[in-house]
Amino acid sequence: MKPSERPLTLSAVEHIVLDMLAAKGDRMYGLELVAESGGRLKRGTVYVTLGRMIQKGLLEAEAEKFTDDSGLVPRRMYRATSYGLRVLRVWTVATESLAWEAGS
Amino acid sequence: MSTSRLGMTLLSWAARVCEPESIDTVALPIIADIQFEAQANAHRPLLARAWTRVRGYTAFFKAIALTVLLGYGRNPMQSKALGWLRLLLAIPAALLVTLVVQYGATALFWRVLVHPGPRQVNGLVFLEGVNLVKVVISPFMAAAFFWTMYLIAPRHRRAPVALAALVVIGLWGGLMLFGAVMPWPRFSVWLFALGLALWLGGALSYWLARRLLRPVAEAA
Repeated sequence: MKPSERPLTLSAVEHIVLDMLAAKGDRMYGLELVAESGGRLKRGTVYVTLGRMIQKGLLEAEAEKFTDDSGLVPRRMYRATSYGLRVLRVWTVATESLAWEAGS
Repeated sequence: MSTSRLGMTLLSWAARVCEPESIDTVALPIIADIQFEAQANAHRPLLARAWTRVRGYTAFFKAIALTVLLGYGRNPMQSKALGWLRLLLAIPAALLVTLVVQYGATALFWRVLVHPGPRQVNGLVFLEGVNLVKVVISPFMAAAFFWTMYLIAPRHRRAPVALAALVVIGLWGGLMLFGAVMPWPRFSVWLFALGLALWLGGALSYWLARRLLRPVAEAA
């Protein structure tokens, strides 16, 4: 089965990332996501997750633009795609519905 | 784009073990974040700065290790590193399997060739029986070494690995043959037979591997 043919799944970490980006409504860089996650995202794993999410089409990334010649590697800024936001909505509704059914 | 010397070192190291796509999606963003974090903490005490750096580099190596391990077979970021790891692993694994085969085959042929042997008298084991077991198990040992190397090696590197395994077996057998004729004019028949048996096992395995590889080469 090719990756594109696989049913879409959203891991807990991917859900957290999408949730944070949707809540912020703006671009965030990796370390910012880790810092604002309150310990839910780990620095050593978040970049691998972000890379995977880009491959899935959930996120898009672009290099930060500098106004001065600082000589630093530009940070990668991440933003949820419209597809990613749709997936987040569907996933949230599905999990809440399942949780409600399990609770009733 | 420019970066610090350490950043370049990390990047060149990552380039050796990761696919270009992993460099772009994992290595570069971490290096960028480490640099910005270091810049933001420039006013802090030395120990705090050092601790931040250590955490940054730990995250870098952890992320690269994860990319190498998880990326394989799951996405196009198929790692070169795992290929190299498999190549390096092939040698100790082949030696280990060879030892296991040696033990198993010795146990098997010992029962057949030594224990109920017609020349065994008063529970003593004749040297000929033991030597015969060694000769009989040698092709199996050579085959075990060859096929472990062959099967562990990445598919696209199997042809050179098969050749390398054949060379190792050739040297191994050659050493036995050299040992057989070296104390000239004395000549050790058993050692000579041992060398030939190793060569036989290696040659047969290589011939079979070539036959297996041929359809792949034709398809390519």
